[in-house]
Amino acid sequence: MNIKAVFHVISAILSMVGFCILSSVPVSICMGDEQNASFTLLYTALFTLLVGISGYFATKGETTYSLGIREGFGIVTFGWIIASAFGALPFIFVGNMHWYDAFFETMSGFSTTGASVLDSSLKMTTGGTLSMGIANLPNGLLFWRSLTHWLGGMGIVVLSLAIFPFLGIGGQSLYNAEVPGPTSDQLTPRIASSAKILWSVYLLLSIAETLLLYLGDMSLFDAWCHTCGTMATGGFSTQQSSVGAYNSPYIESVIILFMFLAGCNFVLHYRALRGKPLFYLKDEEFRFYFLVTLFAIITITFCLIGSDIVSTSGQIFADASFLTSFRFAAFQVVSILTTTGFATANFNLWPAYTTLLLVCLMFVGGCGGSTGGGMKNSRVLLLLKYGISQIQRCIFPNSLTNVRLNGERLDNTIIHKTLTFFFLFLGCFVIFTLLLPILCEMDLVTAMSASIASLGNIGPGLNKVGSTVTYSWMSPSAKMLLTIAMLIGRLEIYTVLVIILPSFWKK
Amino acid sequence: MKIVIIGAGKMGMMLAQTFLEDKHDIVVIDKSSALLNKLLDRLDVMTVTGNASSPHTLKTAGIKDCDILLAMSGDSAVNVLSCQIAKHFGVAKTVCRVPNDEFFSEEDDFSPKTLGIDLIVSPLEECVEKAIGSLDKVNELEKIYFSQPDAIITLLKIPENSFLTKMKIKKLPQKELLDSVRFANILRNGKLNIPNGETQIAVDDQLFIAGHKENVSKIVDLICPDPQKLQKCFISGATPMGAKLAKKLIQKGKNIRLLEKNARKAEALMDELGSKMMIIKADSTQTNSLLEAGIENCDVFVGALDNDEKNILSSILAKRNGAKKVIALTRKMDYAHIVPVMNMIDCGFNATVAGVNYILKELADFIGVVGVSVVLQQANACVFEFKVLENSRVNGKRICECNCPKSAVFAMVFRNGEVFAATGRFILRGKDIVVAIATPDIRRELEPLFKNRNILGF
Repeated sequence: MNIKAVFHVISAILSMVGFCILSSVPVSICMGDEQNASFTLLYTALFTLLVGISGYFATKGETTYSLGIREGFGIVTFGWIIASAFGALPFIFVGNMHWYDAFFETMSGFSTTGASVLDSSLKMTTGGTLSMGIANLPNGLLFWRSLTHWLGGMGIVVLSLAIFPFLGIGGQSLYNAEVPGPTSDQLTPRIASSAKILWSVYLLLSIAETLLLYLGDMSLFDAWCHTCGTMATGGFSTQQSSVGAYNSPYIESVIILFMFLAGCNFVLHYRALRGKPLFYLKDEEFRFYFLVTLFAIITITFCLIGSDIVSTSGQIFADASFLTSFRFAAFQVVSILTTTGFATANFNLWPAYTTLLLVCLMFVGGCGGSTGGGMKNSRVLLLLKYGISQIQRCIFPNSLTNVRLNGERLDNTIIHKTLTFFFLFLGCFVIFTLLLPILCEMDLVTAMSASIASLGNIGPGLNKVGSTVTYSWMSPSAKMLLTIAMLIGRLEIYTVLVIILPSFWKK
Repeated sequence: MKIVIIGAGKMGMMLAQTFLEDKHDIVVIDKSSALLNKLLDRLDVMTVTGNASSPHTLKTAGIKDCDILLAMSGDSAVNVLSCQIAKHFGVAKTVCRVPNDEFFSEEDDFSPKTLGIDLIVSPLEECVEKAIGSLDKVNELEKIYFSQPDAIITLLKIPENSFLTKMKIKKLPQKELLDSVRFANILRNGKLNIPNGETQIAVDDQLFIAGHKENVSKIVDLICPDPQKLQKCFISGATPMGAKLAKKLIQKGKNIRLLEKNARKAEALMDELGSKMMIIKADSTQTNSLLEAGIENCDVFVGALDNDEKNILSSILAKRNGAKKVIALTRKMDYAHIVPVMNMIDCGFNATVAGVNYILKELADFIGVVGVSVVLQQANACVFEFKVLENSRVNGKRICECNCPKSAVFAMVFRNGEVFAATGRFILRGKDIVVAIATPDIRRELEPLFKNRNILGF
């Protein structure tokens, strides 16, 4: 691996992160934060920019670097870790948080997990606690917190591909290392222009959602922050009780719609915007995703009718009618399936079937090429089809495997890679579940749900990490373990695990 | 510019690589997804798997907004058909690879144009042309021609008895003739060295001599006073390439012997070419067969089999057994630059490089690049033709003041149809064409010298 080349590109990414932190300074000033907080934010931004730019020029080679497969993996994995480390600086210096809390919060942001440590019991470096939870933090910092989602959603490396043409980096390997899904569509001949297209679609949808939320009586600041959480399928809210705090069916339905869109393949949105909306229905993965959503919403709605639903802000909807059940079921299902992690109700208290179904949805996740996490619908669909073809083989032992997705036959390498992905995903889930109770005292359900909630980039889990509580009570080592899970989940396992192999480093 | 390439083979791969460096958008179509995946790992291109002679595949590849179609697959029927379809969709330039020009007949007014093809290219034919250029004299290794038909660069191997090896360049006699050409580069042990007045030329150096055709050939005669006329040519392989070579050489009046292992192929070729040559049934990778064919009296041996490795090996065998000059023809890109530097092989020509060079030359005006580049066959270097634009940095400057990168050298200048040797005192003007020799990566540094300056003056 050409380490100099890797750090050259990472420095460019870091400068971009620094610039984004810088963009939250004017927000901080306009929103009337204390002067001290705005200035500290400015210093952290300038420091990150300085490190990024000086690193860029220090590692500049005589000619442009040619990047191979190893460099691609190195850039993506280390780029994410370093971006998170520097992205944590505002939390440490402006928010007075311990470094592990800050790193957890940033990685959770970039990986679009949305698991937070911010609540009234969080211990600060000043010795006290965050008495009023999220409301205590300066607005500039909250803005940066949501922005980490937005940047991480479409991918920071893909973003740098789009905006730094002078890096001269190309090749499918870098792109594939970050964009989720078993196969990736090529929109244009050049990776950089494909990246630009995806980011423009992303930006367009974000602007639309912000406007719609703004019309629903949210302040512009809250609207943008929730948009970041939605479009990136992240889940950070500016309210301690998440979207439930607004108790507004209008806001909830807007967020449901955009969560669902964010969980779709962005290539489909691009095609639809180019005037071909029927592409949605032609896409098998989309149909599967839609049916899974529909099935989960309907069954959960019927399970909830007549029960008492407690919203995240503590309001009780006793003896829920069909519409109330539907309202809460739809929000929770879409939020969990797309791995966003916003909440309006405490689903911990729901009947066992509904909670279990939600946990199953956590494994499925969004579609390939979306901003969602999990294993992705296309993989699940592919495995289902492969399973059926293997069963068929019992009768026709000599038949060839014919697994098709959108009419195209998938060759064995893709199927094997998907099978292995499934195995590795479950393997990681088991390992993290086993390690968590060792590092920090917790019960089985908490350990399991915290593990999948981090690995699948969802955010809230069950019991002690449910939708109304946070991760602040966990030990620093457990938090670090979960940040690793988030990174592995966001970069789809292979990209991170390949770094551990000795053969990756050998010349 | 958007370029669609059909075929991810050797030609397609090299073309994609070359055009990608100039920041063009490239889509590659091939039947085999395995070949395309190999391409994807290395290059930033879009790939489409499918049959390129179907409009649907071409539409998926975006033929509608494409500017150039390069049909480079091994199947000429597919190539011709796809060019026709591309023209239907309004592609401005279509280039079609065919094995030979037998597809067309000028007298019946059935030209490539009628099939919607703007340019036909036959890599084998280009390669054979290259090989023939180096067949006249033992010491001439490669001849490179330019947009200016009178200009030439000859690569000459310095013989032992040459007067050049005894003194420094600046002290050479016949000053007037020497000033009319330029010793542009010396290839010594596989490395390029730019000579100056102090340089002393050694035996076995390979010297690039640039200038007007007549002057260069005079110099060549001067340096190699006893030119051995190469008359007896051995060609190994009754392959399309071998057959073409034989045909051309018979026309030139050479004495040909063709070695072929397969009797049926040999007979077919005999029927095709007539009786003027001897065909021997022999395996050219075996010493015995070569000796039996009389290799020790052979002047030139050309390895033209379908298999690159066998060509290289049989050429080495021939050289060992007494052939005066051996030429190995190859196709794989990986061999392009290693064959010529092998000790036992005098020159190597690569069909892929020859084909790509031809396409680059022919398309240069259409693409509108500042410099036409030609990849040299015998050294890992390129020859560039740069047009001096009116508002460029070098306009009005002496060549020695041009800030030319150290590893590049200006060989000649074309002005109003005349060829000038590029000496340091020469003053460049707008519309001049400068020929430079440099390693491929230096191109990026050379280009800005000739481009129009931007508003900031850079």
